[in-house]
Amino acid sequence: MGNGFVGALLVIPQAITFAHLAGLPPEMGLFSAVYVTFFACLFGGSIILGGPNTAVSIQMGAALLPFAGSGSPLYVELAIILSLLVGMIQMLAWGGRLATTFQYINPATITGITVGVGVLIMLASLDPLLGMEGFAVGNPLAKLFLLATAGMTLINPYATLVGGVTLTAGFLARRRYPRFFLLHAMLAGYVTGMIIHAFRPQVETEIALLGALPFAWLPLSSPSWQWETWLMVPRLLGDALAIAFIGLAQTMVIARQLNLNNPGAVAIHRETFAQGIANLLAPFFSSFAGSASFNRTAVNQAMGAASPLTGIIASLFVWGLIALFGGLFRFLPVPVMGGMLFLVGWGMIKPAEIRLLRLLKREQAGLAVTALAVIFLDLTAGIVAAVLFSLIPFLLGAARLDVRPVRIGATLALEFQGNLFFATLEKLAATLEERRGEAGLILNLKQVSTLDPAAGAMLVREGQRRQQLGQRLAMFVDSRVHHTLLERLDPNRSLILVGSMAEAREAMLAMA
Amino acid sequence: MTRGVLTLAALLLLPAATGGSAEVDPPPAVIDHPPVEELLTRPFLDDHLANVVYGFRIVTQTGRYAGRYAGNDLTCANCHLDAGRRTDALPLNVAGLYPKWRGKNGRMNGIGLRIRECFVYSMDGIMPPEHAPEVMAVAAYISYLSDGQTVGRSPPGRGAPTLPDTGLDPNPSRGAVVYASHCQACHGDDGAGGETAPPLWGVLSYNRGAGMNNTDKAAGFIWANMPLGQERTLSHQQAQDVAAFLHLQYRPADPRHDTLIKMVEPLVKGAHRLVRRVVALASS
Ligand code: HEC
Ligand code: HEC
Repeated sequence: MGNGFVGALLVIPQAITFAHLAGLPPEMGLFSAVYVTFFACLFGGSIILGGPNTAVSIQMGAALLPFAGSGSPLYVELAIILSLLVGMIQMLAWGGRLATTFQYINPATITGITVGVGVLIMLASLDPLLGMEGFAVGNPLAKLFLLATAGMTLINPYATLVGGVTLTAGFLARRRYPRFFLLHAMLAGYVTGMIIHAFRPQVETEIALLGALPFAWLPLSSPSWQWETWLMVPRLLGDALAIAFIGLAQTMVIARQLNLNNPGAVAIHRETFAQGIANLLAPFFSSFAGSASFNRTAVNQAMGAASPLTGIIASLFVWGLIALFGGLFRFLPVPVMGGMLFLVGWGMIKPAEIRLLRLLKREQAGLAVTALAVIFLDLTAGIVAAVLFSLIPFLLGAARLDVRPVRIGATLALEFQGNLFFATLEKLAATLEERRGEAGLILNLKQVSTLDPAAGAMLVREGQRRQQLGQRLAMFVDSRVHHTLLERLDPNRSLILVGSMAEAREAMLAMA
Repeated sequence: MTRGVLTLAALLLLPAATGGSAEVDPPPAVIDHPPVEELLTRPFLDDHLANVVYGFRIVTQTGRYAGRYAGNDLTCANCHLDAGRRTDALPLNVAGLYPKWRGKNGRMNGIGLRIRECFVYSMDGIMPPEHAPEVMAVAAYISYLSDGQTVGRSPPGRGAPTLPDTGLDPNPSRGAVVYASHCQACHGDDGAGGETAPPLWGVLSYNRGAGMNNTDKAAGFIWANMPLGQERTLSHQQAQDVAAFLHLQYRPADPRHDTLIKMVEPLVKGAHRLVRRVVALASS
C-alpha cells in the first residue's frame, strides 16, 4: 500500500510537467500516468512502471508544433493520433519479435541520447522557469544568445524568483533525498509563489499558474476518424517511429537492468506488447503515449515491489490524490514546473556513467555523436546516429574475409571464412589474382555465410577466364541457396560446383 | 478597358462629388465566412477554424472549456450576449480596436490581455498565461467576429449604452424594489441565479474589479438588455437604481487589492459548491 502511495505522490508533478513539455494540457499527463501505467502493468506482468516520459514528451512537442499551435484543438487531436501510431508501431515490433534487436544497440549511444534529451529538457525548461512562455526559439544556440543579449527584457523577474527557489531547493534536497527531491522542490516553489502573491496580485506579477484540473474517473475519448486528419499520418510517421523506438529502447534498458539482478524478472516480448497496447489504448482515455520510467521503476523496486499489482495500485492512488488535492494544483506556478524540468534534465546527465566511457575511445565518440545529434538536430537524428554507430562493429566484423590455403597434392584448396559480398570483393579479387598461376584451384566456401550476386558474378568470371586458359576451378558449396545462386549466374557451367571436398578432388583429377 | 477607365474617372470625381471630404462611410462590409453555428456542424476544421470554434465554445460554456482559469458560475456569453454578437450587449467584434492604451493597468493592451483580464475580474478566476491555448482560441473567435470591421473604428453598438444623467442620484433602496419586481423571478431572491439566469452577486459571481461592478456600465447594460426578453422597459432611473443595489451586494474581492482574501476565497467557493450539491441531492 505504502509503495503505491509514494509512487503516486511522485508521479503527479512529473506527469503534469511532462504534459507541459509535450504542449498538452496537464490533465492529459495525469490521465496518462493513470491509464498508460495501468494497462502497461496489467499486460506486462513485471514491476516496470511507466507513464509520461521525458524523451517521448519532448519529441511529441517537436513533432506537432509545425502543424498546430501548442495545446490547440488540432494539436491535441494530432497528439492522440500520434500516440495511436506509436502504439501500432510497437505492436508491430512485438509481432516481429523485435525486442531482442535492442540488445544490439550500443548502450553508450543510449547514454548519448539520454544526455542529449537531458540538455534539450534543460533548455526547454528555461522558458517556463524564467517566465518567457511562448518565446519558443528552437535552436539552442540562438536561444542562449538571445538570453545573453536581451535576457533582462525577456524574463519575468517574479517567475524567475519562483523558478530559482525551486531549483535551489531541488539541488539542496537532492543529496539527502535522491528519490523525492522533486517533491521538495515543488513544495518550495509553491510556497514561494503563495508568498509573492500575498504581496503582489497575480495580475501584476503575471506568473503563470497551472489552473484547475478537470477531474474525471473515466475520461473516455476517441481519436478523430476524419480522413483529413489521417492525411497527416505520413507526415507524423517518422516521429511516431522515433517515439516508438525511444520508448521501447528505454523499456529494454530497464528490463536489462532488472534481469541482471534477478534473471527472468522481465519477459521482454511481453513487455513490448504491454507498452504497445498501453499506448494503443491511451487515445481512448484522453492520454498520450508514454514509456517505462527509470525513476518510477526504481522507486517501485526500492519499495520492495514484487508484482505488477503495486503498479496497478499506484495508478489508483494517483486518482485518489488528484480527487482529494487536485484543487491545490490550481495555484501551482508554471515556473515551478520549469524548475522541476530543469532538475529532471540535469538528472539525466550522469557523470559517473560518462566518465566510465572515457576509457573507451569508440564508445566515447558514440556518446558524443548521438548527444550532439539530439541537441542540434533532433531525437530522430540521434536515433539514426545511435543505430549507425551500433552497426559499426557488425560492419567491421561482416567485412572480414579470411583465406587459408591448403595444398592437396598438386592442387591448391583455398578455405574461405567470412562473407563474400560487395564489401569483401576487393579481397576476393586480390586472392584470385594471386592464385592465377595455379593449374587447378579448389575454393572451399563451406564456411562462407553470405554470398551476394556481385561476389558470385566475380567467381563466375574467374571460372570463365580459367576455362579459356584450360585451367579449372572447382567450388565446394554447402548452402543450397548459394548453390542455386551460382548456377543461375553461370548458365555456361564454367564453374564446377561440388557438394564435398572429396568430390572436388575427384573433379580435379578428372580434369588433369 | 472601358470599364477600367470609367472606374478611374469615378474614383477621380468622387472626392469632388462629396465636397472633397474623405469622410465617406465605408461600404457595408462583405463578410464571406459562414456563421459559427455552421462551422459547428463541419466534421473537419483547419487549425484556424478549429480555434474559432473552440473560442466560441469557451465564450458560451466557459466553465466546461476554460474551467482551468475561470472561477465562478458565469460564462462570457452571460454578459457578452448572443456569444458576443449583440449590439449594446458588450459585443466582441472589437479586434480592430486593439492594441490600445488602457488606464486600468497603464500600458498598451492587446486583445489577449483584455481577454485574460475578463478571466481575472468578470470570471473571478486566475490570469491565464499570455499564450494559453484558451486565450488564443478566444482571440481567434473575436477576430472572426470582427471580420469586415474597420480597424481603429468602434463598431456600431459597442459596449453598452451610456445612460443620460437623470438628475437624481441612483438609490439602492429603490433599486431593491426594482430587483424584487423585475429581476428576482429569474435571478433568484439571493441573487445566486440558477437554471433560469446566472448569479448577479455572491461568491460565484463577478468580482469587485469587473467592468460590470461599475454602476454606470451595469446600468447601461441592464437598461439595454434586462429583463431578458423585455429589454428597454425599465426607465433610466430604475436601471441606475438597480445597478446601485447590485453594487451593494456581497461579491468576491478585487484581486488587485485583497490578495490575502483571494487566497481564502477558493475554499469558500468550494464549500459553497459542496453545500449546494448536498442540498440539491437532499431535495431530489
Ligand atoms: C460579468 C459580466 C462579464 C463576463 C462574465 C465577461 N465579461 Fe468581458 N466585459 C464585460 C464588460 C462590462 C466589459 C466592458 C468593460 C469596460 O468597458 O471596461 C467587457 C469587455 C470585454 C472585452 C473588450 C470589449 C471591448 O469593447 O473592447 C473583451 C474582449 C471581453 N470582455 C472578453 C471576455 C471574455 C473572453 C469573457 C469570458 C472569459 C468575458 N469577457 C466575460 C463584462 C463581462
Ligand atoms: C427572464 C429572466 C430574466 C430576468 C427577468 C432578468 N434577467 Fe438578467 N439575465 C437573464 C439571463 C438568462 C442572463 C444571461 C444571458 C445569457 O446567458 O444569454 C442574464 C444576465 C444578466 C446579467 C449579466 C450576467 C451576470 O450574472 O452578471 C446582469 C447584470 C443581469 N442579468 C441583470 C438583471 C437585472 C438587473 C434584472 C432586473 C432588471 C434582470 N437581469 C432580469 C435572465 C433574466
